[in-house]
Amino acid sequence: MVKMVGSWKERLHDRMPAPLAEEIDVFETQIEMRKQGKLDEKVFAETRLRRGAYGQRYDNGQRHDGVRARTLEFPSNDVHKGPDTKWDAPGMMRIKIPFGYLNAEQVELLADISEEYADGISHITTRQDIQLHFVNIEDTPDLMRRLASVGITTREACGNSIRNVTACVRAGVCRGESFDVSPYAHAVAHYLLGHPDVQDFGRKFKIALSGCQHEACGLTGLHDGGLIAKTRVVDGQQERGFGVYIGGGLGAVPFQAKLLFEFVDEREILPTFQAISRVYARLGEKRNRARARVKFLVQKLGVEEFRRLVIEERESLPEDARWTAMIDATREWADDPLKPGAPLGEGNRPEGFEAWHRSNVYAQRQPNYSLVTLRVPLGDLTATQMRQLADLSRRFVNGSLRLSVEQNVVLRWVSNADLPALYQALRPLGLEMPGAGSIADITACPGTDTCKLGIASSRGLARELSRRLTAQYDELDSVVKELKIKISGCFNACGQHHVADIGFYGNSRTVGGYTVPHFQVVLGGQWNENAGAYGLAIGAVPSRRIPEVVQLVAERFRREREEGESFQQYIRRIGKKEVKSMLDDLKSVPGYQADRSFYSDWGDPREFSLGDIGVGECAGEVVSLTDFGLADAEREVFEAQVALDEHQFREAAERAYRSMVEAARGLIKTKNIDISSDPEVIVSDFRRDFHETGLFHDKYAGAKFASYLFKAHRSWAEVSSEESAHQLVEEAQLFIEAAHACYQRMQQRP
Amino acid sequence: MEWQKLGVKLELDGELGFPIHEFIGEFHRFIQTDRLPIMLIDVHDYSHVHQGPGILLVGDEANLSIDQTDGRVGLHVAYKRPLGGTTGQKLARVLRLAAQAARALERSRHLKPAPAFRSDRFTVVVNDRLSAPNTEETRATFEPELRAFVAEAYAGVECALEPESDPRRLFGMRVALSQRPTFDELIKSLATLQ
Ligand code: SF4
Repeated sequence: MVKMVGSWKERLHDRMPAPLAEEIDVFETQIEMRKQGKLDEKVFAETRLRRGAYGQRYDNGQRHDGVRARTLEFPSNDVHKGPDTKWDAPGMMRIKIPFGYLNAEQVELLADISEEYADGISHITTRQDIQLHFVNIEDTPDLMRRLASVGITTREACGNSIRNVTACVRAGVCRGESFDVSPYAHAVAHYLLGHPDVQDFGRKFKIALSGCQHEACGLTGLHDGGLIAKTRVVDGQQERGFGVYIGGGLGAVPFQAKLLFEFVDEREILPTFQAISRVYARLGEKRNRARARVKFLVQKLGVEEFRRLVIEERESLPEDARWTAMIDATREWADDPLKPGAPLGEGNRPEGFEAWHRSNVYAQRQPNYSLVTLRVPLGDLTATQMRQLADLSRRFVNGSLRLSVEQNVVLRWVSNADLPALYQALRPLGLEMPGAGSIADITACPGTDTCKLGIASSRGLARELSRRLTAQYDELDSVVKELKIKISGCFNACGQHHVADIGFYGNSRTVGGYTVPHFQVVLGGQWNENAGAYGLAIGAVPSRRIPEVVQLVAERFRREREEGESFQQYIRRIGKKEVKSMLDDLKSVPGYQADRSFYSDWGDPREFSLGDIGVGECAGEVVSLTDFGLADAEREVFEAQVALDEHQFREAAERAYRSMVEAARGLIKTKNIDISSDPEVIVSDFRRDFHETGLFHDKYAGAKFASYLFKAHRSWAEVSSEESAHQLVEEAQLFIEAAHACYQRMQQRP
Repeated sequence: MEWQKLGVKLELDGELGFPIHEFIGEFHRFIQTDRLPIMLIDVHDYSHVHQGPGILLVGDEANLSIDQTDGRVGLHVAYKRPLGGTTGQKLARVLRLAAQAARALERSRHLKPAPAFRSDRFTVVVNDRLSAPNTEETRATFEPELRAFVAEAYAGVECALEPESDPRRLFGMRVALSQRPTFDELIKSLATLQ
């Protein structure tokens, strides 16, 4: 007989840190209380989010199966784990992996739990987390206990708190870094984890560390808080410190982080971030989620005032011995090689090795060692691959690996002499593909696969593009190979499309009464310089035509680039008007009867739908006055972007404002085709008929987009800087998107 | 012993005659037409993953997939919700769902050439390392119960069992039978055991 199995709680009792074990017990109790209706569903929702248990698509119990909208009859349909979230609906578990560092034992454990509680896949995110999908909420306490037993916590992986602390995967082996930021990332992550001063944020706060200014790896520019390693010499002694940045972020309105402090001594970084947290918790927006990220607070106060407040706060902080103890502990950080490095010999190389070596192998600062990137399609790894990776990490390196923000796996400290054997060993795992970080190695957020907010299939598109580009990879020109493609399923930008050469985010358009999946094309973002510049939206193209967009843009760049010109420089040189006209032919959508493939998304044969759609009567196109109005608005906002490029801020602001008024006017035409062209009347009618009725409001963003129009109406003329003009253009773009969505909803209503 | 989270993978007979992503449309049709007796939720494309779950049909009680683990394609049914009854009754329920899905796929008008699955070659998995670590002790307990079930479900058929050898993997036993009933016959036989 098998002896009594007991529970994971009993079995792992001695292997979990006591406070963590206690927290998980409390969470298990909260689960039980919620099931019995003794804990408010909103409170429970935030509680589970702060434990990393996230919602997933269709968890409201509704799904359109391609023929009709259906109610999913889950067994406990009257119990909810949050507003509009069914108890039994599969959910997502986000697992924080600080700076993407995993040891072999942790990798094996992740493999086990992905099989037992999810669908067997560990998904690497763009912030070095692991996500498991299709997890039942009642399995989460045991899942957390097993993670805790190998030193991993899911605490504050989601919710309004400090999210995973990320850092360059090259930290410690990079040829250009100031020093290894890995142990500092560890210190920041662990100091702030569960800290009382980070419990009262209005929104999430993401931190990244980078070893240098010029490479991309840390992406500090797009984070709420960033740390860039620096050294200085004082009295002949080298001192370590960091440039501290604040208020970056992607999402609907992207902001570049601003320099908060030029140099903060290493021993000051923990109190500095504690002080920042206090200022943010005290003064950050709490009611309006759309304005609650720290970037809005920094914008509102100005970085000088924010700095003053942080310094003031720092001075009043009670002394904490961990500020220095945790930094002193960084000196004990060891990331040593498994064996002495040896040169790559001249012997026989396996077939395919050279191409792989060129694209996936980076020569470390330490002679005779390499960092190897394993290309992981869409960031998905099976349990078998994970176990074999654990084995390889023990065989070739020091039993560790790192997850990258490009959704890949990185092995460091590989002796060059071992590279051919490693390449051979990767083959049975299907992880020997060349082209890591290339145009074929596409980053994508979960999109409509699992995300509740997804509009279009980012993963479906990424799979298709990757398949095509991988097949062509050997023939691609080297400058094309180096381009980066990143895809988000909606404007929230989890796929980091703003910092790709070629970025896309999902949206939709109505054509002949049908909803057609589209992607907004965003060109010219900058990955280097820690995500140094964001691309601008060029226009929406039907999802089916995106492969043609990639082909066209890449080919034009190859043919027309000047010697040494980067993609960003090329796009700037030819100008947005030219880029837009390049895409014009690709914007058309054939009629429903002519080509139905346009009316479904990549990898999903269901007719694309945002709800129940009536079938249009006409074989041809019916273009309404509203369609025209929205098209006018799009044109106007495009002109605003061009003006922005030409540093005509006032013109950009005025055009952005006018584009919003045009879009609002287009909508009003559904009710009153004689609407005046006077902005006062348009805004007033829009407020009455679309805002106050809630008709224009986005299901998730609420009145956010409507407020952009009202704000612009009041104050567009006061725009005086490039940054505020840029923001107004971005807001206009989003307002127009919201107008399209509103119009779609109106057409779909019975 | 109370075994839960049972799974069955029916082996594919021969090679697939079409790209694996063709199952996506078929699984969506399963949802649209309520083809299986459990609530189905969504279809997930993992065709980009090396030897992974291939195409996944997510359900509430169980997930189904055209699984490619170890390069061996098969129809995998993995129960997630607890099942009642004896081990034999639980196994009958899981295997019956797999047989129903296999039969539906074999008969699909849309999959050409029609795939064929083996009713006489399958692996039974216990997806729970707490109750069923992949050890000799688990095998010794599970095997008699599995044999008893096979004897009832496939009356008079010889059966060879082979355990999964890698202790890090889930506990499982490959079943090879001396006769191959049709899925209609198997479904009928299993209905009496549930
Ligand atoms: S970008 Fe949009 S679709 Fe993609 S994960 Fe973020 S919220 Fe979801």
